[in-house]
Order: sequence, then C-alpha cells, then structure tokens
Amino acid sequence: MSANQNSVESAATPRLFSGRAIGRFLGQIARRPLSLMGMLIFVGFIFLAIFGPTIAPHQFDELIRGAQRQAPSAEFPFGTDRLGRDVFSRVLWGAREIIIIPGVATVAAIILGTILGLTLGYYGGWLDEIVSRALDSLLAIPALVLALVMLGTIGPSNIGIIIVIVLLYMPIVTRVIRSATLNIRASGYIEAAKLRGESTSYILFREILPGVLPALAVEGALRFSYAIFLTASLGFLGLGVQPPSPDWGRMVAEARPNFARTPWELWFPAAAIAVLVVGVNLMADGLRRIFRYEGQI
Amino acid sequence: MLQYIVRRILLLFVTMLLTSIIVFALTQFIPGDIARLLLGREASEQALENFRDQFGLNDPLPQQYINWLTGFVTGDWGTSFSSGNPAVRPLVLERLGNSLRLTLMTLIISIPLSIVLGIIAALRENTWVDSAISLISLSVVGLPEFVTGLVLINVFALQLGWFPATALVSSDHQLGDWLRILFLPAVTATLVLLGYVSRMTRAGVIDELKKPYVRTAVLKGLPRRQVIFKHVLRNALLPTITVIALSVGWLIGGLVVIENVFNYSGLGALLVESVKQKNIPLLQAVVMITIFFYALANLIADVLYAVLNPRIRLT
Repeated sequence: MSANQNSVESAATPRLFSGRAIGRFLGQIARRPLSLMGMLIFVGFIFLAIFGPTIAPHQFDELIRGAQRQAPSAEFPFGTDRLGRDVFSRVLWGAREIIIIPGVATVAAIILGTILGLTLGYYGGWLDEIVSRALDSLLAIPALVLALVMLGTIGPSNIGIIIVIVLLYMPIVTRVIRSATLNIRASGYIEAAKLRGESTSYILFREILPGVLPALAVEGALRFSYAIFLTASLGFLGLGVQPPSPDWGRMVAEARPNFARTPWELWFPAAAIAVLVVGVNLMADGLRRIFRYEGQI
Repeated sequence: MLQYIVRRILLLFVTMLLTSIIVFALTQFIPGDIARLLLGREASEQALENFRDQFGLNDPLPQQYINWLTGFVTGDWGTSFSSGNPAVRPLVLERLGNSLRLTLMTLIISIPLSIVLGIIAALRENTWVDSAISLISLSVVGLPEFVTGLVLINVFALQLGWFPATALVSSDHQLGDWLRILFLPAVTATLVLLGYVSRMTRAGVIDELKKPYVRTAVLKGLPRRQVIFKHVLRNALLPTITVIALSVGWLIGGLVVIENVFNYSGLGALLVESVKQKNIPLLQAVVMITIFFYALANLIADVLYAVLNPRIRLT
C-alpha cells in the first residue's frame, strides 16, 4: 500500500525517468508475477518483430516443393499450409506488422492527443468547446464501426490502418490530458511559473506534462493492446494488412476453409495473437495498479 | 427529473446530427468515380450518367447530405447499389432484429455472471481467488473474438456436437432453435464484456467496503451477509450500470466480428459486406442505426443512474 502511495508521488515529479524512479518501477513490476509475465511477453514479441524475419527458416511466401499440408514436425514446427508455405516462418514474419502498425499508430495518437489536450485544457475558451464537441461525436461511433467505414472509403492499407487507429484513439487521449490539465492549471505552482515569467511551452511541457505522465503510461499501454486487437480483427475481416504480407488475423481467416485438413494453419497464428494481446493486457494492468489510474475504456 | 430526461434526449438528437455529418463526410472519400467502380470498366458513358442521376451523385454535396438526411428521418433509406435487393430499409431492419436477439442473449448471460465474479473477487481481495478471477478475465477480454469464437466452435460444435458451428437463421425458428444457434455466439460476446464489467464491479465494491458506514455497520454487530447485501452492494453496483452501457460500444464491435465468425446474418455481417462492396447507401444506413442504438444505450444508462442515485439528479 505505502509503496503504491510513493510511486504516485514520485510519478508526479518531473524526475519520472530518473534511475531511481525506473528502478523502483521495475521493482514494483517484478513483485507482481502477472505483470512481470506480461512485460516479458511484450519484450519477447518486440524481439520477434526485430529479428523474426532473420531467424525464420523460410520466406513468408516461399512455396516449398512437395511440402503441402504437412503436420507440425521437427522440420516444420508449425506445419505447412495448402500451398506448401512454412507456417512457422509466416508467423515469425507476421510479428513485425502486428507490432509496428499498432505501435506507430499508438505513439502518434499519444503524441497528438497530448499536444491537443494540453493546448485545449490550458487555453480553454471557444476553441476548446468546438474541438471537444467534435471529438465527442467521433467517440459516439463504436470504434470498429468507425474503423470499417474509414477503411472502406480510403481503402485498406498499412497507412490507412495507422490513420484509422490515430483517429480512434487520439480523442480519448486528448480528453484524458485535457481534464488533467484543467485540474493542474488552477494549482499554485502554475501561477508561480506564470509570475516567474516562464514561457507557455515551458509551463505546458515542463510543469503540466510531468503530472499527467502516469495517466499517459497507462493509456499508452491500453491503447496499444486495443490497437493490436483492432488490427488483428480487421485482418480477420479481410480489411487489414493486405496480401501477400503474412497478417495473423488474415492467416486465421484464410485457414478456416481448410480447418478440417490443416488445423495447425489456424491455431498457430491464432495462438500468437492470443499470447501477444494477453501479455500486453497483463502489462497494462500492472501499470494501472502501480499508477492507480483505471484508464478509459 | 423530467427536465433532465428531456435534456438528455435532446442531447441524443444533437449527437445523431453530428455523427450523421461525420458518417456522410467519411463516405464521400471513396477514391475515384464510384459509378465507374461499381459498373465496371466496360460501362458506357450513358450508363454511368444514368447511375449518377439515379443515386443523385451529380448534386452538390450539401444538397446530397440534406436529401439523404431528410430521407433517412422520414423512413426512406434509399436504394442499395447492389442489384439483388434494392430497398435498404427492410434488409437493415431484418438484420437489426437478428442482432438485437444476439445482444439480448449476450446481456442475459454476461451481466449476472460478470457482476457475481466481480463481487466474489472484491470480497476475496488479494487472495488467490481474486488473482484467478483477474487472470481469467484479463485473458479472455484480451482475446480477439474470432480466436475465442473459433475455440468454442471447435470444442462445443465440432468435437462435442452440442451446438451448431454456424448460426444460420431461418424464418421458421422457434424459441428453442434460437437459443441453440445463439448460445455459442452469445458466450463469445460474453467473454468480451466479462473482464471489464467484473473488474469495475470489483473496484466499486472494494471502494465501498472501505467507507466508514460499513465499519459502523460491522461494529454495531450486523451480520456480514446483511452488511454486504443490504448496504454495500446497493451503492457499489451503481457505477456498474454506467460501465455496462459504456461497454455496449465494445459489444457492437465484438458482434461485428462474431457475426462473421458464426456466419450469423446480423447487422455486423451486413456492415462488413457493404464496406467490401462499397455499397454506400447500405453502409450509411447500417452505421446510422448502429450509432443510434449505441447512443440509446448510453441514454438509458444515464437516466437509470439518475433514477437510482438521487444525489446526482438535476446536475
């Protein structure tokens, strides 16, 4: 209990990234076996995203002669599909896109949402009113529905998915940062900074931003897990990352008609998605408990 | 109270108006000539022109928007681009009925289950029971619906044969048939809601247990059972109503995927079809109806919350 209290205090100071704070943070993660497991899974998948294609024994689209529909074996750990492609290699190649697309999109949504939220919260006024209403009406559309409409019109592509995720999650981050900024704006130390004659950008980024970092960390982890979920679901619906690149969601959808003969073609990419999403969720849950911030839905 | 409800209903209409602008604007971004896209390369200039005339594509955009909106409000939902079934409204309403059946079944299973799990986890806070419930709910909520759906199909339909693998709708279904085909999709959707609702219930109960009046009740000798059921839960479950309404947004997204997994002909499956066919009138109608029900769920939650909690009334 008291350890958690301390972390909130340390998180509220600008020295969130000091060596001691990071050490204490890692200590708290390590004391929660589930959070630690989530963190390790996440790091493992980052490793796969970087080195997966290097350690994959085959190209993702390589048709291996005479090796169609092989059950998992020492040579093909995850078996081969109806065309003779190595499922293990395809899963390894696919790790890159399922990490990079949601990752880039989440980082962009967090950065844009933070800047917008800080600005709206700090200045307020009619600009705040209008932009907040516009963002609220974007949030009035269920996420996957909005994603489908946007991808249906701009056409499915990697850039399209990134734009969609940014548009979906930026309003939520903006809302969180904006309300935190409104709370902090009235406090004494902001007044003091103004009286010292600090510039607005100094006040926004050096005085206000550090106070909202814990919320940002939790939101970032949560958004990332939802973004992976969304990217995989879009892939399954046939509107995600386009062929020939090996998208896990699409691999699952394509494996369904052959399920009776080659079930491994379906289970391995499905399991990869499951492990990744559960891992990131466990990590996000750890952050949520350490920072005592529930996060938006 | 009445004033609050009226204001809340007005807000619903404002939301619908704003989102209708967003939906209309988004569906204008289709690159290239939509008539050419749908009629194909060989279509003659005359055919293209007829198509544009028929669907009003030559009008200026604000005009198109107003026509579309007034048509939608007055019940004329336009004609679908696809030649098979041209009228949008009957198709959308039929699919809507199917989706509502699935939603109802899901809520009947998921709400009691997740509230009970949340309460158990809270009363056993920081024990292995709590950890187990949180691990299970975090795992299942994290799994994409197509993964859980396919696992359930494999076990309960293909291996055990208890339920059909696909949820095919037919017009002569009796209640029993509906329950049989809806069970697996509804359980899949339940897993989407379970984690979030049970976690928020747990947090609510834990917060409530820490309040002074609970200690007073315990110290004056009330049995634990009575403290929990008569005092704590009443207050702790209020936020859960809001949580359930908020997760309707998730549920809608989940149903889109689930309907595709189970080949269930609901609104979600229709949405994906219309996106793939670039069938704009159909797409617009499906999306507007979805948004309406989402907004309605939020409205009901807000009003329920206000009715049950006199403290926030009239604010």
